[in-house]
Amino acid sequence: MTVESTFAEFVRDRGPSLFRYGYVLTGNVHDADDLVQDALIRLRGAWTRVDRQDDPTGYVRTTMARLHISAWRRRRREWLTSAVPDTAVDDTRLATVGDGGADTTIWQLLAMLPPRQRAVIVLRYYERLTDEEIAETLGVTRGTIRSQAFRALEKLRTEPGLIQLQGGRS
Amino acid sequence: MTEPILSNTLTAYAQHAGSMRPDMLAMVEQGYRRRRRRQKAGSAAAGLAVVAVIAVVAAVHPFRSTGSVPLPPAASVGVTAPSAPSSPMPTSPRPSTSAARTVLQPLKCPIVSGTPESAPEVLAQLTAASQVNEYQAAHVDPTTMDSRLHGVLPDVHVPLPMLKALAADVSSWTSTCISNDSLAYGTMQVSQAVNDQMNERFQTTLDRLQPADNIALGTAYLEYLTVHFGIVHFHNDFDLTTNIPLRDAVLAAYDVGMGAVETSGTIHIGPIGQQFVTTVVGLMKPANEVQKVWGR
Repeated sequence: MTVESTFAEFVRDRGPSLFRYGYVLTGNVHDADDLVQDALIRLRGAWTRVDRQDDPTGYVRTTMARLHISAWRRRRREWLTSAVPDTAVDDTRLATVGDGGADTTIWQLLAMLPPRQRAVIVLRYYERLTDEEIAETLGVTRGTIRSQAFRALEKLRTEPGLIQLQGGRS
Repeated sequence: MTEPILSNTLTAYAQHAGSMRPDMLAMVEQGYRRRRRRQKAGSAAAGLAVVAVIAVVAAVHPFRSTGSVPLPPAASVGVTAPSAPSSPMPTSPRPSTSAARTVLQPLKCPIVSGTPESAPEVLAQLTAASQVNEYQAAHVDPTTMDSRLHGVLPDVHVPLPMLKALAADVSSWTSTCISNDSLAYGTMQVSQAVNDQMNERFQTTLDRLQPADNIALGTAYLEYLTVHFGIVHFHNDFDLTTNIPLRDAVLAAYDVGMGAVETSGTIHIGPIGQQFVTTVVGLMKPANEVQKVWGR
């Protein structure tokens, strides 16, 4: 098995799951594609080492979480081009989620969170990591994770339907 | 800290996220190569800057004449020739690498099972094969063909440069070449499956173990791929010299298989197939003509 083929196999196997993770991190398919692509390019550079020693999925998930909150990435300037790279996608399936109920409300509120707080929420409630693991993933202390989660949940609680949200104090 | 409502929402949205862009792997490989090129260029520039700084420091350093400061060998260029400030840098190795890049070296055949035919013999067989159109040969029954051809047998020819370059890449023109997995044989690396399939399609009795038949089988398979892709994706345009997307699809399919190129109803050439296409197309260029490369 060559480096290319083992990497291609990894992308084929884990790509869809990474894309879903990128989608809940960023909130839309275009940013999710970009995030997965950027993280996979970095993984490709370290592939022989990561594939031999570590868990590539964990590596790329960590990379994606960190890239998502990276200030450098957000400040990156756009390239002006005459050709529009993105094409419209059929997003009608999303309308079927929650039917405008609590799910939709939460999703809209999540979109207003700053990237770091959103990353903490996703890692906690989607990836179901412990605060220690989140701290390690994002490279900050456990206290920071707890305060970020507290602030995020506080914002979500402003919605009357979500007043019962707990967490942040555990 | 269980918060089922958040977990449920995130999971529900993740399930409806749709799918990743299909060309993700190709984009990643492309991005990775670009990134590596940039890193190499950056480190080379940094390396030259260090050499230049050391050279300048060495040139003006008061201890230089005593020889008490050991200098790295790279700095010796600047030290021994301080009177030539117009060219303080050592000659860049770039021109030689770019010159090497224009001459592609095809892979050597992994296993040679017996005495192969000489290059002129192989060339004669390739030339003969490129002039044959298996579809219009007398022994083909038009009624067995795809109905989308409307009973007209397609005019398809594999250009000789393409055939020469392909044979160079798969076997380096070795008529007794056996592939690493012992499945493909000969100048065109034909497998038994392709041999049987082509004999059935064109009602021939070709044998892949015979050098001339091997080339005929490989060419017939290329014609078969051309007609298939031409019908399905290119409105019956079978011209391999002008229809570049068709040519690339045919070449990639010869390497990775038709199913791997034609995923979910569209042509999608993956990185491995693309690598093959790039090499063969490179070998088709006049500057890389096979005989020139090998000196045969």
